[in-house]
Amino acid sequence: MENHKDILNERFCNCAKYAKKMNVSKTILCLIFSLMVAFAGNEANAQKVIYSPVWTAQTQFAGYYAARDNGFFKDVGLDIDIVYPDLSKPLEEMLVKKKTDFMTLTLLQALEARSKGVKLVNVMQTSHNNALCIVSRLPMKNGIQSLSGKDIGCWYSFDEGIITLINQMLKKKPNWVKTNSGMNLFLSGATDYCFCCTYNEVFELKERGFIVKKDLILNMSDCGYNIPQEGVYVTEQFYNTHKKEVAQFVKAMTKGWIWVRNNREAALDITMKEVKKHNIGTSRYHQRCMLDEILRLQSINGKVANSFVLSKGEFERAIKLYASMGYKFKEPLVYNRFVK
Amino acid sequence: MGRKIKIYHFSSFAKRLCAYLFIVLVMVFVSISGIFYTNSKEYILSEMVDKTHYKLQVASDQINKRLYHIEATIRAQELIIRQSLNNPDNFALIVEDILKEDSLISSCGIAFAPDYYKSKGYYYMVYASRKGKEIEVRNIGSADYHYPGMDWFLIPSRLKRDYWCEPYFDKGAGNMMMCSFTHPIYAEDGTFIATVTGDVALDKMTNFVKKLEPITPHCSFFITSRHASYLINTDSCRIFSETVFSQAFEEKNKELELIGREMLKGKKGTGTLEYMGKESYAFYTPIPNVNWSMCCIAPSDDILAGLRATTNKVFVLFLIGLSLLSVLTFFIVRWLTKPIHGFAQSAQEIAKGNFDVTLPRVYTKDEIMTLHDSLDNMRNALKDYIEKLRNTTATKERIEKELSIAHNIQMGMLPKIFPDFPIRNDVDLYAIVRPAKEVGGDLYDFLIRDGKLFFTVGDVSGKGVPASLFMAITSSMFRTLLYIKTNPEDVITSMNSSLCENNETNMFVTMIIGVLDLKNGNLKLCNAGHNPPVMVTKGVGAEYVQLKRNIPIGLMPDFKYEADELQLCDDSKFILYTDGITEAENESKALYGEKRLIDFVNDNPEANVRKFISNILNDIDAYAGNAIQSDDITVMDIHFRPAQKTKLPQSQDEK
Repeated sequence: MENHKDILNERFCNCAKYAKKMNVSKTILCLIFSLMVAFAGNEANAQKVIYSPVWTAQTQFAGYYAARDNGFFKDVGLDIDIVYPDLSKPLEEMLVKKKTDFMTLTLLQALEARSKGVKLVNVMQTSHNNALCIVSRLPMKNGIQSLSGKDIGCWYSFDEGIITLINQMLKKKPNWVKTNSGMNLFLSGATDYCFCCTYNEVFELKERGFIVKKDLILNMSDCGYNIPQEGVYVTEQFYNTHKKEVAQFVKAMTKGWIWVRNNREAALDITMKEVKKHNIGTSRYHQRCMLDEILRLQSINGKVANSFVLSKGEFERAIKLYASMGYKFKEPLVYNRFVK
Repeated sequence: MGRKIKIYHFSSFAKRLCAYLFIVLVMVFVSISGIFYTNSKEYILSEMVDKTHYKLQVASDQINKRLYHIEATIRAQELIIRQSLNNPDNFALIVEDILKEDSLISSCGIAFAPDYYKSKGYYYMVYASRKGKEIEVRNIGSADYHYPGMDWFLIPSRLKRDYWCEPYFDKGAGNMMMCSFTHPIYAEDGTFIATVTGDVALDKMTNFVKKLEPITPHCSFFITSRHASYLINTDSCRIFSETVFSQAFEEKNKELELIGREMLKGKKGTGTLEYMGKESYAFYTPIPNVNWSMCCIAPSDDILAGLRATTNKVFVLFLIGLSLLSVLTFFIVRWLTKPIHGFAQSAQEIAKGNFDVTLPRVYTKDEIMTLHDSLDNMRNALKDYIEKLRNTTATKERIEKELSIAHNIQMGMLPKIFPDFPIRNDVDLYAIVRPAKEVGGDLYDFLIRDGKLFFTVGDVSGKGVPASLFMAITSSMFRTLLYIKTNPEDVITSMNSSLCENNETNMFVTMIIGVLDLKNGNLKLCNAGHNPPVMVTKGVGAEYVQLKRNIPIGLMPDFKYEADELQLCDDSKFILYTDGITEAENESKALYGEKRLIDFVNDNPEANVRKFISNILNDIDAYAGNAIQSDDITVMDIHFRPAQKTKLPQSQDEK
């Protein structure tokens, strides 16, 4: 930043020296040019930050795209950039290795990272419901026990906590098959069951001609895993040194999500541009279904929630569930230290 | 409230015939066209279905054959790879050979199970891709290209069989949209070793399919994967990003969804649907070995374009033909019916009385000639008839005139001056004759002489002129004999003798002659076959007077007539009449009758003689209604009232 200011000063001084040799009109033109350069320099002064979503480009992150494309980040003085994660690696590594500043993670992923010593703090909660479910090819007559000893497809970036939880629930440990992508593993018959999100893979299955009957789907919220999912996290260190930027980021993101609620088709336009830019194979219909479901998941008890804060109740419920899986934190985790 | 229907009236027969012909022809044409179009449509559709399915099958076979070549090329590497497992550097040559072997393969690779070669690291994948005409070979396995989680590696390694994966964007390697064929390789103990993969770029696949014979012009064509993703689509934006179901759901196209499900089941078939806003036909057939399916959607307009063009041509030709036929028919009919117009004008002239009008000349031997002859005959017949009618009318007018004169003469023969009151108050008398025709056979007469009232009412047999002439004779005879004889039976006997002489027509007269002595009310009556008179006595009422029954006069010359004698009281009435009253008929042919007459007289006791006669005539008219008077009507009313007698000079008695 210092270097940038020096260059501007040098340019201005050069212009002044040159003006002595020029007539008045030329001097005025030179001054106008210098002012323009100086104004451009002010924009360049915006704080650069990086955001990473939890998955590839899709309307699940429409709030971010809307805030970026509508200039909400610029309005609060942030120069934002997006870096998509490598889904085959632990997501929190991006925060630890400072490849990103803000990252969307699930609550359980954040708690897991915390238990491993990665001090993450929640600065924004974009989901107040759980979207995880298991889809089967045959009716799951024995509920969750139907998964005993079976092949279950899930993502590389999947919460280890859920795997632990299900392993604890089942009489016989299942075989977890991890994939980078969506539903092809399940559709091809390579696994008996697969994990889905109600806002994405369930629709994808339907769009692939799979008829998702009620008895083929098992919601995790009905199996004791009823905790909120996605939120935005930063490292504790980043939070302590960039409190202002974090606040501005949350403000812009909040504004972005509220804009999306009121401008769904326009939000889809923005999302589809992003999707094409990153060569994601998806349709507008799929993204529309996803957006509707994402906005439903943002509600609290079925009512539209303008609060993007993880409540103490939600936090404690997650901690309790996490503890029941046998996980322990190196130091006791309290709400105020985790939620900022 | 109903709508008024305007009926068009044709101004000419030619126009009417043309209009009817036009309507009939249009109906026939529409019916025939409908049948033709329906049958042709079915035939063309049937042909189209067969033809399209044949082409689809050919294309399917060609694609299958081409894909099989890729599969065979990849599978063929297994043995070489097994032989080279101890020398992993040889794999570069293998992947290079694969690309050289099949031009449709854009890139290929041999991806080993993680940690298979410790010396090569966790990831080891030998990958060959085309860089222009050159082939570049490298190891792309790394943490950044985490192939163990990718479908093309993971799914066949788990399924333990060959696998064509769904289309994907190969980020980090091919960096393009592709679908890959993978052949997994296992050790004898079942341990997974590696996969050999051949990638086909979707744009290359599209180009290959485009080179196949077009199925139908302007049709939409797509190939879907085993999980409904678009691999090839004429709308290239849909490739990779959409499935047949996402399109169906987005467009709320149930038919497309059903077709998609059939395709997913690997079925062959034909369906109808609305596609891109047009009614269309979908033809789909599977590509069996790879579990793909191909579909061609052609708008109905395109399929039936030929039929519709032919139908339109036929329609235009028909309209032209129909127009020409209508014009031609109009002129022919007008030419054929031209004599009819002439006949109409001639008929109008004939109607005006111009029977010498010249009829149009006809040269044909058909109905027109018959009409001409009929009109000519009618004209001649009318001419004769009118001539006869003219003569008849003249005769009739003359007869009517004569009859009118005769009527006046006959009426002139009847006394018109009745006793002059109040000079003569002891008797009042009034009579009237109303002939049924111009002249009639009824008569009445009266005379006062020597203090006596001589009176008569008669009815000649028959009607009209003969009866009137006989009446005239009778009336003259009566008037003459009154000056000679004073007894009514003598008068009648004399009249009978005279009338019987030279009565070649055998006519006769019924009559009553009466002589009333006005001093004492003595009344002598002689009835020659006439209706019984009615006597109205004060305090007693009206009653028929039954007199001796003599025969009518004019029948037997030597018949001796006898008289009756009555005594009239003061203020009594004596009414004589002819059978025209009692036998007057109403519309139901019922007779007025003697009872009705006697009742009427009883109901009108106080009326003076004129008023009484006026009333009874009105009553008869009211009774008859619209029935025509069939007989002459005569009635005479004598009102005897000696109490009011006035002394009169002799000259008055002679009146």
